[in-house]
Amino acid sequence: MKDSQTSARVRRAFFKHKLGMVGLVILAILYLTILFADVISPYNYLETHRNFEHVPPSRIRWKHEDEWKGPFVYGVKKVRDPETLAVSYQEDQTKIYPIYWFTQGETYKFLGLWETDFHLFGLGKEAKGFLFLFGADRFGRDVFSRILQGGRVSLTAGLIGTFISVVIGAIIGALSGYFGGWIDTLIQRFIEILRSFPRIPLWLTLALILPPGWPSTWVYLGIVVVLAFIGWMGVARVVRGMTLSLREKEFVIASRIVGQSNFKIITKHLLPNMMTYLVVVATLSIPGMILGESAISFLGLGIKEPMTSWGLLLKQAQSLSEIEAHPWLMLPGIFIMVSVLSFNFVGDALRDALDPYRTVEKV
Amino acid sequence: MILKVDKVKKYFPIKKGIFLLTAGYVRALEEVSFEISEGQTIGVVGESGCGKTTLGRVIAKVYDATSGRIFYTPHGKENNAIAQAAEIRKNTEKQIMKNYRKDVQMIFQDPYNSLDPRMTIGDILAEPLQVHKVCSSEAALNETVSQLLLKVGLYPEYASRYPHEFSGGQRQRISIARAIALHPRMIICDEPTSALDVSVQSQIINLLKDLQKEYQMAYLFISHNLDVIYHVSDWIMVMYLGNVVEIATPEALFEDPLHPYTSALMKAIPNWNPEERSLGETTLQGEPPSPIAPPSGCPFHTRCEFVMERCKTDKPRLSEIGQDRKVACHLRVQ
Amino acid sequence: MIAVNHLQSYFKTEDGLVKAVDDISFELRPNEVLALVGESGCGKSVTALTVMGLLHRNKTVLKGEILFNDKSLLDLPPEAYRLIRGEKIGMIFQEPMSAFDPLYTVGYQMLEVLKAHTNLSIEKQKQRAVHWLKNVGIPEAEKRFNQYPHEMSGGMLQRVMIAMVLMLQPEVLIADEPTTALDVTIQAQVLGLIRNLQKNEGTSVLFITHDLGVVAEIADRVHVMYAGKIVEKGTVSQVFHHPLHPYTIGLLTSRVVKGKKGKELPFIRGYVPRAYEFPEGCRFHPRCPRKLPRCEHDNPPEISLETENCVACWLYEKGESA
Repeated sequence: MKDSQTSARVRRAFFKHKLGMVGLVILAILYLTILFADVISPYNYLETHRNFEHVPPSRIRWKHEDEWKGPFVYGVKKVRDPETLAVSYQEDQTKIYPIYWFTQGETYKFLGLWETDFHLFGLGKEAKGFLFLFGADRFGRDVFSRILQGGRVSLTAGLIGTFISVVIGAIIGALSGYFGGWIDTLIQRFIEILRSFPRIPLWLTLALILPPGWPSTWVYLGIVVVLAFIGWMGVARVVRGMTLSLREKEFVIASRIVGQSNFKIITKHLLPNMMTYLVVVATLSIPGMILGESAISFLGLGIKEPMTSWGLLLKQAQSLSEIEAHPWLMLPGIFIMVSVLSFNFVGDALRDALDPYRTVEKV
Repeated sequence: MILKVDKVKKYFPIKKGIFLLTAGYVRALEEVSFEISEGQTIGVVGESGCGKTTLGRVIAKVYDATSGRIFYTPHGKENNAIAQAAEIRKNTEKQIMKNYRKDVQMIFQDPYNSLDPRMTIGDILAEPLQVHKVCSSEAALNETVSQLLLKVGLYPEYASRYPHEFSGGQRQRISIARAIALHPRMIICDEPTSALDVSVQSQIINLLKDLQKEYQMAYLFISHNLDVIYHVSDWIMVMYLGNVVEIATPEALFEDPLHPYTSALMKAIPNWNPEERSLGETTLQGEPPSPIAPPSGCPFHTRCEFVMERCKTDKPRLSEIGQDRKVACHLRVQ
Repeated sequence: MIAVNHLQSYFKTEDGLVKAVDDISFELRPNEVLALVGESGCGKSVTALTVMGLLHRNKTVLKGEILFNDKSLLDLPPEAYRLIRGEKIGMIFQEPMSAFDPLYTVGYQMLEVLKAHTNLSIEKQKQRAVHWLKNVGIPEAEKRFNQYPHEMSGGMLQRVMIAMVLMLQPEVLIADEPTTALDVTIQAQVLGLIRNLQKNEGTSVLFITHDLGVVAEIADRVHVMYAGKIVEKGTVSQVFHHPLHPYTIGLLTSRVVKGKKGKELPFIRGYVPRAYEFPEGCRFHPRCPRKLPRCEHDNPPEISLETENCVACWLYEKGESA
C-alpha cells in the first residue's frame, strides 16, 4: 500500500466521522472568534457602564410601529418597583438605535498592538443606547464582549497546557520506559502518588502557591503551568507503555546493534512512531484542561480581574438567586460545554481514523 | 578467530511486587562456549525456549551476560588470537565497543518488525553509515545506499519508499543490506527465513551464502529448521533448555546423531515422501519443561527414552567424543 | 461430503474489491484428508472461513455454491448455519490460545459447547469431555479439565481444541494451519494425533497448510493454491512424485534438503503477489520459468488429465506437451 493511500484513508475516515466534523467546524469558528475578539465584540470588555448594571440581553428589532427599519434596538430605562424597590429595565420605545456594520465604538488595542476604535458591528460612537447581546454584568460591562475575551484565556490555556504536558509527559514517559529499572520505578511510583490525590484540591493547592501580587498575565501562565503539571502524568503513562513495547521491537534492537545512541534511538525511532498516538492523546486531554482552568477560576484561585476567563465569568453566577435574577450570566457555561464537547468529538474522530484498534485510552 | 564465547550464561530475573524483588530466574542460557572465525557458519538449532535467540542477543550485546566472557579480536590482529583479544563486558572501553558494533551485526526473524515503519528505506540503510561516519558527504551516502540495494538484488529507486510497500522477502533483503552496510565481520542471523514464504526462503539463503563468500563474514545462524541449518552450517550446535547438548559437523550429525534429543528432533521433521510417513509412532512425547524451574540433572531426562538413574541427578557435561564432536549425554560419555 | 463449485470470495475494501478466492471448485470426499496448500495470501484460509460461514456477510461478496451432503450452505439462515457449524463441520485454528476465553477453565468451555449442541445431563457431559481429553492424549485429564488456558502450553491447548471440536463427532473437520505455531516435536505429536483420530472416527478432514512436508505426512489428496486459484489437484503421491504445474514444481524443488549442500538452492524468482495486485492472465506468469505468450492475458482453464490429476496451466492444453 502506498503511503499516500494510507494518509488518504486516514483523512477519509476522519472526514466521515460526522460529529467530529461538527466539532471541528465549531472549534474553527471559536478560535477565529477569539483571535478577532476585540473587533467582533461591540464594546471594550473592560468598560463599565453606570446605570446599566445587570441589563438583560437586548432584543434586536426590525420594525418600528410596523415600519421596516432594518436591525435596531430600543433604548432601555431603569424602573424601580415602588413596593419591592427592585430594579428592572424596560424598553424605551421612543429611542431607536440602529445597528451598523463596520462602525466605530470604544477604543481598544488590537491584539495589544495598536489602538483603534473599529468594531465589526455596533451602534456607533455617539449612540446613547447600548447593544448588549448577552446582557450586562453587575458593573454594566457587556457579557458578550467579555465571553469572547474570556475565550481567549480559556481556549488557549487548554491548548498551551496540553502542549506543555505532552512535551513533558513524552520525555519523562520515554525515559521511564526506555531505561527501565529504578528510574522507571521511581517515576511510576511518583506518578501513582500524585494521581491518587483528588484532582481539584490539588489544582487549588498549586494555584494557591501563585503569589497574589502577580500581574494577570503571569497568573495566566502560572495557571497553565499548574494544569500542565497535573496533565503530563497521564501522557507519561501512555508513552511509557508504548515505549516498553516499542523498545523490544526488532527495528529498535537493530538500531542499538548498529551503535546508535540512546538519545537518537528515542528521538529517531521511538517518538516518531508514537506521534499519531500523541496527537490523539493531546486532543482528548484538552477538554480536561479547559475544565480545569474553569474550575480554578470559578473558585477564585485562577485568572484575576481585569483579565477574564469563562470560569471567572461563571463565578458571577455562583448563587441560585443570582441565576434566577440574571440567567444570562450562565452563558459562559454553555461556551465551556460546547468547546469541551467539540474537542471530545474531534478527538474521537482522530482516534477512530488514526488508531482503529483503540490502543490509546482516554487520559 | 573473531569471537570466543566462554561459558556464557544468561538468567533473566523475574521481578515481583512493588519493590521489584527478584522472585526467580528464567534460566535462558547455561554456560555456552564456542569460537567462530572468518567465513565460518555456526548453526544453532533447537525449539522455542531453548535459548538460541538469547544466545544471539547476548553476543550482539542486546543483553549483558549474567556470567561468562566474550572475547573479540579486533580487525588486523586475528593471528594473535587471545593475546590481543578484547573482552566484551558491561563497561567495555568506548572505542573497542564501537568497533565491535561495526563488526557484529544481526538479521531478525520478523521482516515486518525489523524495519522502522516511519523511515524510508534510504534512511534505514543510512543509519549505520551515519552512526559510524563512514561517508564523507551526502552524495557519497546516497551512492553507498544505492550500492547496498543493488547488492541485495533490489533497485536504488527503492530508497525513497517505505517498508510497508514491500513484501516479506524484499524486507528481509533490506534487513540484510542494513546488516552488511558497515562490512561487518560477523552476522547473527536469527531465524532469517522462518517467517518467509517457502518459495522465497531459498532466495534469501542463496543471497546470504553469496555475501558470505564475497566478504568472508562469519555467521551465527539460528534456526529451528534442521534442513536449513544443515544446508548453511559448517558446525551445528543443538540446544535444549538453555544448554548445548551436541556439537558436530552437519554430515556427522545427520549420519549419526549422538544425543537422544538430536535424533528425536530429526525424526520429527516431515520427510516429504508420502510413501514413507514417519510421524506419530516414533516421536518424542511430552513437552519441554519450563526454564524457570528446569529439572535437576540432565535437562532432557524428563522426555528421554533412554533415561537412566544418574541422568536425574547428575548433569552430563559437554565432552569431546571422537573427532570434532561434542555431546552432553551419559549414554555416550562414561 | 462437501462440494464447492465456482466459489468466489471477494472482500470490499477501501482499495477496491480484493479477489481473495477466485472461482475455485473442489470436493471433499468421505473419510479422506484433503490438503489445501499454498503460500501466504493464496486464499486457502479464506476458503476455509467461507465454508464455515464465518466471513462477515456485509464485507464480502460470495458467489458460487457450497454443498454439504447436497444441501446448499450459502442459502442457509444464520441460525441453521450455526448448528451445522458445530455438529456437522468442526474447525480448529492456528492459534489455540486465541480460541479460548482466558477467563474460564477449558472444562467449562467444553461443557458450554456440549450444552449448546446436545441434551446430555451434566454428568454425562462431563464424562464425555474428560473422555475426549484422554482421547487426544492429555495426561491427567481430570486435572487439566479444571485448568485455565494460560496454564497450558500451545501444544496442549491445540489438543484441547481438537478434543472440543471432535467430541461433537462432526462429519467434517476443517484444520487451518493447526501445527504452524508449534515446535517440530510437538507438531509431530499433533499430526500423529489428527491422523489417528481421523482413521478411528472416519471424519473427513480439510487440512490447510503452507508446509508441503506436513502435507506429505497427512493428506490423501492435495490441492495447490496460488493467488486465489487452485492450480493443481491430485493425490499426494502424484503431486509429490510427478508435479505438473510450474509453481508446484518450483515449490517442491526449492525445498532446502540435505543433498544440495554447498550448491545454490533452486528457487522461484520474484515474490508472492498481494491480493489487490494479482496479475492479469495466469496469475503465476510473472514468476513462471516456462511462460507462454498467451499466459500474460488468458487465464488457463482447469485441464483434467488421465488419472485424477487436474492442472490449470496452458502447457498442458491438448496438442501441447509438457
